[in-house]
Amino acid sequence: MWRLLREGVRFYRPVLLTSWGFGAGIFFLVLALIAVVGSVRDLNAMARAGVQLPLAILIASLVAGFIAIGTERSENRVRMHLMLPVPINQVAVARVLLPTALMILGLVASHVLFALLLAIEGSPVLSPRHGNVDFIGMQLLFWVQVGLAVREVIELRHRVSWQGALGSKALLVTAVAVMAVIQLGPWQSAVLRAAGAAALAVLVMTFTVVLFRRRNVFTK
Amino acid sequence: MSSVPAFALTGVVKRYPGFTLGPLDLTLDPGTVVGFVGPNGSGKTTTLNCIAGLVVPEAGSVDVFGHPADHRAPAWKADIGVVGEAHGFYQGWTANENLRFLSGFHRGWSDQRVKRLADRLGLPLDKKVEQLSKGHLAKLAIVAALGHGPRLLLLDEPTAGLDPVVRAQVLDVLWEVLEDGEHAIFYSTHVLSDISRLADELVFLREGQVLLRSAKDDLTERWRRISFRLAVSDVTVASAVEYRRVRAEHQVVTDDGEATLAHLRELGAEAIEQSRMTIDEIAVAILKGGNHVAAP
Repeated sequence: MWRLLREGVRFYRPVLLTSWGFGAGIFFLVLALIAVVGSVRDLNAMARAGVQLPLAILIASLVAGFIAIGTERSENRVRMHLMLPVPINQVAVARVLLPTALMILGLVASHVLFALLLAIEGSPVLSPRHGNVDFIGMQLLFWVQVGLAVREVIELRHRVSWQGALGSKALLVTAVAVMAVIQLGPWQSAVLRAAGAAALAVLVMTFTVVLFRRRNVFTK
Repeated sequence: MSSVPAFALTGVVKRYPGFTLGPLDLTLDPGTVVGFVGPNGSGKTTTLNCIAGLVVPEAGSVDVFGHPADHRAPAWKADIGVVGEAHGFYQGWTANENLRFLSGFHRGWSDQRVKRLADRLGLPLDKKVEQLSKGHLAKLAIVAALGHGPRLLLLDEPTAGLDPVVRAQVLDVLWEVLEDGEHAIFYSTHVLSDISRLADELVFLREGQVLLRSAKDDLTERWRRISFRLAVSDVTVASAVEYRRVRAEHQVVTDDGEATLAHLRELGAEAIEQSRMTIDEIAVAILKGGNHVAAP
């Protein structure tokens, strides 16, 4: 499993780095535009906007995760992986861990950037935002996993009746509703909210693995 | 040589909307080559996917060298090499990187074997898969399938859409693979001329059912096109698969030339002429005729 995951990350590393490049590039382009056409007040706002750079990297990692999911499907990777002498559980887990690994790398990069900004700026503006980065990262991980889970529910729908797939659809909708509660709820602790989002992402990953194992056609 | 079949399908059934494969009972002995012939949509690819474990049948069992084709205990996959319509290669990697990826999972992988095959086929290993032509992609699929030295090769139209030169190269390599007598090959194709050299037996499939399984030599020996003259307007001839009458001349295609000739002599037929049929002509007659051909 780890070899499958490691090779997958190696394959999508250029995609991830390119996404980060685009994310940072767009961010700096906006800053440059503000610097050229903005006022002094805008420049102050721009300084505060510096803290958004790590979040741009995080969102770029989400994009890389979705690209990985789409590419794996379009290149029929399941077919290749299932012909390897690797148990199906490991193939299934490696599938959900691939976009997760890309998101985790993005999260680590964001933390490093925050640490750098803190060292340079030392601004009190940064600290609360830094505390939120894990929560934002886990939310994005949840959404990328929902993308994979939806794919599996569609596969399920191909082999059972509409009613037969109802339970799985309901579970997925419930997970999305719970995530909305975590996002909008009154809880102040960023750590608790991040832990809640992470737990929900893990539940969706487990759901995807179970559905994948129950498939009876692995040609797509 | 092992007495355990390379694969055994027992009562395999797979249902899709508007199509049912089986119940299918099929075995392949080690060291034999079986051509799997049938029209589009007859279930050839589904059958191969069932053996490869890519499709799980609703009923019946699939065994590969005596082991159930179960994804939870995947050791049986080390004995299989598959060349299908889709392959799953990493398009952004070179052929070499893809082969290196596969080598990490197979104990029996031999870089030496891979290099020899790649050289033999003229496969550019340093080219990205997305830049490979259809012919080179087919060659890569063959090399990848043979890299770990599998005892069973499942080939799903491996030469489809290839030009005659590449097709000949691929078939030459398969011929060489067979030389040691250890490999079993299950070869699905429309192009019967491809397998006429390789195959020991042919299995004909139509609408998810096996119509006939026969030794290739037996087919070419028994099937005949016979013309004769007889002063009757219509006649029923023993073993005739096709019959037509052009003025005074009657023409039949028979799946038992000797029996038909004996019957015609009894009937007093004159100007009897017989000709052998190519394997292509026999396949068309079998698949067109359908249900009157006895199942094995």
